Amino acid sequence: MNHDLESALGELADRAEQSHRLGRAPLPVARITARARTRRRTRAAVAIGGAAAAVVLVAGTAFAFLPDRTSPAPPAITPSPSVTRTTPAPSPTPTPTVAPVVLPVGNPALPFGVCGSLVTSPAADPVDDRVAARLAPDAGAMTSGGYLAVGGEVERSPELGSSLVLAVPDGGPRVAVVRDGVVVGTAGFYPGTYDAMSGRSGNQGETAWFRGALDLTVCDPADGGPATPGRPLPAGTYELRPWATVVTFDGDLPPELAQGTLTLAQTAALDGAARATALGAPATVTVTGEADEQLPAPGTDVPLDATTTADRPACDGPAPAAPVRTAMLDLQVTPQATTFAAGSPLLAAGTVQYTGPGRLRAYGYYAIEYWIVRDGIVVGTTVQANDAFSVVDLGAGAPLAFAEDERGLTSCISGVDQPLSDGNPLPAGVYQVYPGWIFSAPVVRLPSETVPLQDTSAGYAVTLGTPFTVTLT
Amino acid sequence: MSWEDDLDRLVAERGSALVAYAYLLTGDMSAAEDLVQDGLVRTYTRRRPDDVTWVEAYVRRVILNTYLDAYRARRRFAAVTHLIATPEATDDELTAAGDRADVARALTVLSPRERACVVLRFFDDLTLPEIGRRLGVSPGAVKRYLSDARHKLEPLLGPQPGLSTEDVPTIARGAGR
Repeated sequence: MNHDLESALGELADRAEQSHRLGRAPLPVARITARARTRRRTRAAVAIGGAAAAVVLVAGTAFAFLPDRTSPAPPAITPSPSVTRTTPAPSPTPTPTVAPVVLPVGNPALPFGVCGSLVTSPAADPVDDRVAARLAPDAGAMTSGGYLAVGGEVERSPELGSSLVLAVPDGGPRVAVVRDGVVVGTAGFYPGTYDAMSGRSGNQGETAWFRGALDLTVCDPADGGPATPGRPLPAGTYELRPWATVVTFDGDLPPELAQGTLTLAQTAALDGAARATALGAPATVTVTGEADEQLPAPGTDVPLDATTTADRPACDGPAPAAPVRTAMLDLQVTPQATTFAAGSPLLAAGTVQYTGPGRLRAYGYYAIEYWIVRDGIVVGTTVQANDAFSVVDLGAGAPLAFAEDERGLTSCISGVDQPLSDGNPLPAGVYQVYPGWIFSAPVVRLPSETVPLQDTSAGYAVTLGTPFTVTLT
Repeated sequence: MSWEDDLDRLVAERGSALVAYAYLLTGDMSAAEDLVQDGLVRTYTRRRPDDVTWVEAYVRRVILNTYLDAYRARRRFAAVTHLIATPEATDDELTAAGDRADVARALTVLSPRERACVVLRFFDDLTLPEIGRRLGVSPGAVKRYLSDARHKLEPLLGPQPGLSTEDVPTIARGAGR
């Protein structure tokens, strides 16, 4: 059996064209025209409104840069030791002294985002609201010296930027940690010095979702002012403001960007390029306690295990060995119920967490899949033809959570290399259900090197969680 | 000629060909017709009258993006929801026999992007970099989609040497600088 795809597709298209011409109703051109006409009117109205808004914006911007002659000058922002010192209770052993933390002074001359800048200062590059930097902390509070698990991304706004051609930071958004209107800390998923850019274009630009544990420490002021850089931020409430420098293009994405090896400066020097700033909604976090030193980052001292790999379960094959942490990914799944009617869906919540050093980058499926085993043989799966090939970039200490999702336990198609659901519900019985997370092309990015963990020609990889018993009634 | 006349002419002359192209992507005639309608609306919301040949190429690109858009739209910030490609039906009348039937059935196991890559490569005869530009992804990602497609299609269709891609560095490897 060998089929020539080129001729088969051509023949398929010819037949479809013929079938449509002879056997189907013509395309409703009147309805198509009416829909297009309505949209053209809407676009015209939006364009007029947009022009008016632009005039207001220009006027407002100009005004903002003029000296304000009516308002009093804002109070000078001075450094203030923010640690609350308390008198230690008498104890048999001396309490370690925590040296005061000095936060950077606000400097209105610095552009927003850099250490010591004001939150009200303009960014170095104009803001483009077609691109958004986003940040989502897992919690609203953390202990000083600890880490805050967050998710983040820099992507085109779904409403405004669907056709925008641009390059975004390959390392994800930066985070300005703000207190009393001053950027006192800077954080990110990668070091601030990592400035490689990644291209996005068309309606289908790749997206990248970052997870990581941020350390909230005092930054080093860009103007050389006084501060205690590296010290954990003291107790208090802070704003986390995501931002990113992006580069937009007025034409197609330059081919140089496709390889993902250009820096920000190189990207901005390409034809048709314009630098811009992406901003996002701030999040609030409360730091409690005091710490003299920052704890080591999760995964720092863990050696990389590049060899442990789960076998991909095969339909009609033996039950897989599990759990297996492929690519040092730990999968935890909690089913809502383990006894339910045949044909009813399985409901389960789960997380996958990278447990190794550096950062793991892979193309991941945004769901947990299941392989179903009976009498030691794989008889079913939930895997379907799937298109969730988004880039995920994971750091230790920040689990990637999956929304509780209904998954039908179905039998599988035999005889294919990558088992797929055949859509038929499994009959009543007792089964072992093996949860797994599918991903491909995983690499670990260490400060010194990037280590590929999978031969990409081998199809997808899977990390397997602990199996559980399900009874279908 | 007004844009309405232009649209009329395109539909009359090339409507069925556009449906056929959309059919390769969806595997379902009704879905293909819907896709073409959406593509035409999106095109003529912006376009002024132009040469039909040029407009047809443009509409094909819009059809491709519209087809894939439905899947991208499901990816949301922090919404780690499952993305399931709707199982695509095959039209019995169209796929009654031979290679056509096998290929049409086999295509249903591909994800939308894999399927789009296969169509762009084998029907539109595009190079990897050009496919990447059409889809807004890197050549390395195209290579990955085609490689995945090969793994899924070969057990069903036999060896597919055409799906062996040249050694284009992937984004992931390229990022290892």
